[in-house]
Amino acid sequence: MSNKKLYRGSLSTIILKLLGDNGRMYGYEITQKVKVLTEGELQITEGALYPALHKLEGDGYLKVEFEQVNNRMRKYYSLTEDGTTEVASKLSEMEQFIQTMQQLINPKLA
Amino acid sequence: MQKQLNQLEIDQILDFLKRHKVPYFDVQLELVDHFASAIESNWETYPNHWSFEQKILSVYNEIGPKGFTKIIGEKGRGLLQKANRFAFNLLKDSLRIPQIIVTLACIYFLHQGFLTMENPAHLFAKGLGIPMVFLIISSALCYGYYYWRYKQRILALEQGISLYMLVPNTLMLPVYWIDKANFHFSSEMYLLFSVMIFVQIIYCTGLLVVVRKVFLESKSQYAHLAKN
Repeated sequence: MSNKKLYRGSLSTIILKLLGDNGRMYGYEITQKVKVLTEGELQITEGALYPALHKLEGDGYLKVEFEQVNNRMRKYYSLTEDGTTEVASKLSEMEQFIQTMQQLINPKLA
Repeated sequence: MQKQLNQLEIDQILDFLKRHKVPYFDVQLELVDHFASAIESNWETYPNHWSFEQKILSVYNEIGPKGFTKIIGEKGRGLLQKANRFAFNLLKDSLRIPQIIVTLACIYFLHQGFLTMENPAHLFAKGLGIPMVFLIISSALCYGYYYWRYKQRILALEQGISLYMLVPNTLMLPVYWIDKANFHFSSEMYLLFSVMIFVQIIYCTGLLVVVRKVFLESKSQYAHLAKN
């Protein structure tokens, strides 16, 4: 995908936002949800998703729980209290970024 | 109704991950679920003549050009960070007034004791020997408990190993160096050794407490996964 690099820096924000909206999710569910919400425009690869999830978990923004599903265990992620605060902060940063980009790209509209 | 993978197929995915050297137990579980979910969702899209192994490979190819490298690397970094945080908190917790008073008192008595010792070489044996024996026994206990009893590798094991890596071999280096140089021992040098050895023993004891705590937490978190 050509605009992959543009999305790369926003992966944590996307994950935190999705978990904020959906409560708890597992890895594959996150990839599929992003695909559906963006109508296939953005596809998160597993090679990028899981390191990001583990980093957020390590930073204390996510907590995990395992649940038996069919013949296997499923690892669910949900936000911690710090994670909930971080979502608001990341979204605010993102809005600021979009606004700044808008000013640069289309000064008349801004 | 969507096809669900049977136990044999799940085991095949797990074998595939092990062959690709995914070391962490929780990452293995997570990826097994990911592969299984992807295969179940896309069962219809795979050609009928494909073997199950080929279906697994197809999901693997979507992960990215570096395979599991990035996932494993990030996990390792996270664990090390966690271990460092534990070690830092341990040191921070020991900087309280009662601990400082007890530490100073112990250093004083150790110092006085060393001053009366006839052969300073005993000091090195004790300084090196006590923590080493301590480490070997505690490592064997930890390893045995989680690896042999549950036959699974658990997060805490890596955390424990990371913590042990921090065990102060560095503290012992000056002792070796001075010993090799046949240095003349002054009263100040004994004081320095007293401090070093005491810090080392306290640190090792603290590590065992922390590692045990981490193991107990992990046990409650992972016990239901590890029974087999």
